[in-house]
Amino acid sequence: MKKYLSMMAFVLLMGAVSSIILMGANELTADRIALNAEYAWKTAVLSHHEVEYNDTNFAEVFDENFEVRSAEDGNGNMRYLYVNENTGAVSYQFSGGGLWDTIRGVITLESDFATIKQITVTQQGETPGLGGVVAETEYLNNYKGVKFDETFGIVAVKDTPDLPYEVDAITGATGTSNAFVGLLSVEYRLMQSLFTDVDVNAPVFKAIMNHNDVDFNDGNYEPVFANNFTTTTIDTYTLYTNNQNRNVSFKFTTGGFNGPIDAVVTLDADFITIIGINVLSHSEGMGAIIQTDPQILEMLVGKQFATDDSSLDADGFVDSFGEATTTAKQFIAGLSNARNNYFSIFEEGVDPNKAWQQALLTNNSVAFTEENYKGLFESTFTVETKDDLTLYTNNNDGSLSFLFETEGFVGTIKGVLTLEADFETIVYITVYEQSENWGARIQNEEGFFDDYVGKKFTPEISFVTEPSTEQEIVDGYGGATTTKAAMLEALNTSVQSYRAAFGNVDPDKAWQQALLTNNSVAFTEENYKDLFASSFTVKSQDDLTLYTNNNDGSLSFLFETDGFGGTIKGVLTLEADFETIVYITIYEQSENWGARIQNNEEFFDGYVGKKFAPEIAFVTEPSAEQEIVDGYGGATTTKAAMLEILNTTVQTYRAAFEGEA
Amino acid sequence: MNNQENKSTIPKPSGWLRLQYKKWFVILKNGISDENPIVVSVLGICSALAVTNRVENAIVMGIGVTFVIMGSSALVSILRNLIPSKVRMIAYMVIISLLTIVVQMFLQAYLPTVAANLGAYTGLIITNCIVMGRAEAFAIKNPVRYTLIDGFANGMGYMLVLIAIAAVREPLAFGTFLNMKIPSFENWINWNVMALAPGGFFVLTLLAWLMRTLTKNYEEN
Repeated sequence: MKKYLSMMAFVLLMGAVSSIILMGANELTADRIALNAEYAWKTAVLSHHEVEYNDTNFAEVFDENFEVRSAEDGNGNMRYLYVNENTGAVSYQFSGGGLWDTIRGVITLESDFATIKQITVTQQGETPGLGGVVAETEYLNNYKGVKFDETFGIVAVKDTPDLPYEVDAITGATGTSNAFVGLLSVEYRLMQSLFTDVDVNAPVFKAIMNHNDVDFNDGNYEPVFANNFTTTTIDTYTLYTNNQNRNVSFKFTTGGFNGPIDAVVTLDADFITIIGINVLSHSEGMGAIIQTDPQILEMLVGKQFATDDSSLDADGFVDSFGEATTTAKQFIAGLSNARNNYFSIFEEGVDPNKAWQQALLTNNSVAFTEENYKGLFESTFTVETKDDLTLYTNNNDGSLSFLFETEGFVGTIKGVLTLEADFETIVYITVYEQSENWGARIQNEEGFFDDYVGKKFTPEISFVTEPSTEQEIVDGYGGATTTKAAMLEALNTSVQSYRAAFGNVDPDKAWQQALLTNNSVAFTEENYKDLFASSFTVKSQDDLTLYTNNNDGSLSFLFETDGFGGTIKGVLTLEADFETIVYITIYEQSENWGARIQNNEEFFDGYVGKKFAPEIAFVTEPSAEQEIVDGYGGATTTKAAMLEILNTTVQTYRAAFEGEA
Repeated sequence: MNNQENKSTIPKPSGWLRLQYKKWFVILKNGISDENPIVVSVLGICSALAVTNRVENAIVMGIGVTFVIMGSSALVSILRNLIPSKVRMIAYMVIISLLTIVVQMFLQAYLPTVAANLGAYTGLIITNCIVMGRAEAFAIKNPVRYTLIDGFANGMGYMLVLIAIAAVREPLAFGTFLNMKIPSFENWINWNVMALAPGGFFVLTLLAWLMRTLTKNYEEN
């Protein structure tokens, strides 16, 4: 036993000591490492542009020579483009998945925004001697002069490159080569869409015209396309029909191994035989051959979809992918799914809203047929819309349904959630669209959501192995952890936003309760309104409102400011002297580090009794009555905003009300 | 008197012979040849296959591994009386990875170019079986000064074999040696297989066979 304890002690001690050493080493080196990373990419850009610099002035030289343009990408991340003011050449940082690890670097394009001037890789973790070659200057010199193609991006080839968008693959490291050109192409397309006015439809139009043997050039492709094709749009689906032979084309998105694959396909007039097919963008590694090897997609041309279930005989196609079967299978599945949708919508006239409308009826236990679901849908639900949220209320039992959508492991998951009228208890969940691998059971396994029935969002649900409370649900996802996380997040956040929008919450509740808290009035959810009305005398002047406590005369008022993450709203209560702080409560904020101003219940305890004489200040060691201990840590933006708003509000209210008080 | 005479008649052993019986010499010799980690003990094969398509990689990897074996063995040796035997493996793991990560952090901070060149090797070094093997087979029961010699010896033994393999693979795979074109290989057609893992298998196996035949090291049942 003693031996066992000493062993435990040793392990714990070892863990503690090594964590301390690691933290210490990180603390000592983090700043320098960040600086080195900045040095690495900035000097790389400078050398691409042949600008002179030295180790001390590189940052200034960088700022002097480049105009910085910025734009937000679809995921809310800022992207920056550095434009050389003299030559018009542009540089940007890129990153993406290599075969083993993230590859980061900078790329410089000529002023045509297409021809590569130079590439530097600043970070990679590929196998030394094989994929690791991707960071070597000699290899990257092969990319000089290579031009991004509208349809193909750039492509790595094993033979001698002869087309302008082809580049040598690394010997023995096809996976890394393909992943590298793939990520360069994806990043290029993104930057092109953010910073140039290029027509995003151009590659689609051109691919379709190639499939149909229509002649065009870069100058006239738009009118030629408009003359030869008819565009039909139903809901979010767009179909291009060839005016002569009635061939149909559409763009579609499938899942892949690393991410979505965008492609365009042309079928014959009956939606059966594939006339032509092109991949527009992807981020596959091994599976990149789907775009880089034209012969592979060529194998699909002439293949026919089965008329009954849209399936495609693609055995040879999948085999030709070697190890990258996931890419091939996902692509085929996405292709036949897209064909099925387009066929049913444009050829059979099926309503594209069918899937979710039927799912809604299923959730509400309304029996329907293919013929009557539309009528039943309209008669069963009352539709209410606020902003971009739509709520479907069951006319019979008042249960509430809404759609949710999230990104799973492979692709988009769409479903319907139905709650009882209490906005809390789950009636049922149906997923009507997904393309997961392991997580596919959320749609395919009947009864998957049976365990959810009767569970409550109080205020959130969670997935556990052995549920014991009403908000815990048994975790039926197995290894599909990404799908699970996506579902959990989507369900909880959608309930929250629908509750906020439709839950009939008293908009004044938050600040009225905060006011009562500041004045130490105990309240419940039922009586706070009455207590509020009886506790305070309200005085208004212009747009200022002062709440005077009827018992002790303390003065309260609301304040509002912009913090780091969004608006901060709070209540400040002073004693009748208009100087001494009684309490402060924050009832709304969306800070990161600064969130403690609302979440830490004791955060403002240090403020009590301090005085606005005439202003307060935040210091490390308070000595005077207007000095308050600085509890904000690194949340300097939150701190600055709070200090400013407290001082100015007090000043404004004093000016307006002090005379009368 | 008699004794004294006798003593003087026995010739003093030569310096070379005496050297061969010094403990440090034995350790050095064992590490580099008799118990060479790769061809005899067959440890650290994964990295030996992965990085030996360039001589440069072999040298960098060899130096890195030598440094880490010496450092981790010395640490294990210092702590050898404190580490409970049941958790010694975990202790080795922690010591080895800690050492490697801390060194990598400092390299990234103060010698970024070296760090960039070494970057991908770090993971390969941590997982190298030789490092753990020496901790278990030697460092846990020997004083610090001998573990340093042992670490150096094994690291050198590892590096020499890596260089030998790379010296065959690089010219055949790329027509170069240490990234410089070899004059007589001007019209060389690259053997791609030598750049890939199978090439490593062939050369390593042939080398191990050759070495074991030369040193008459046979495994018996």
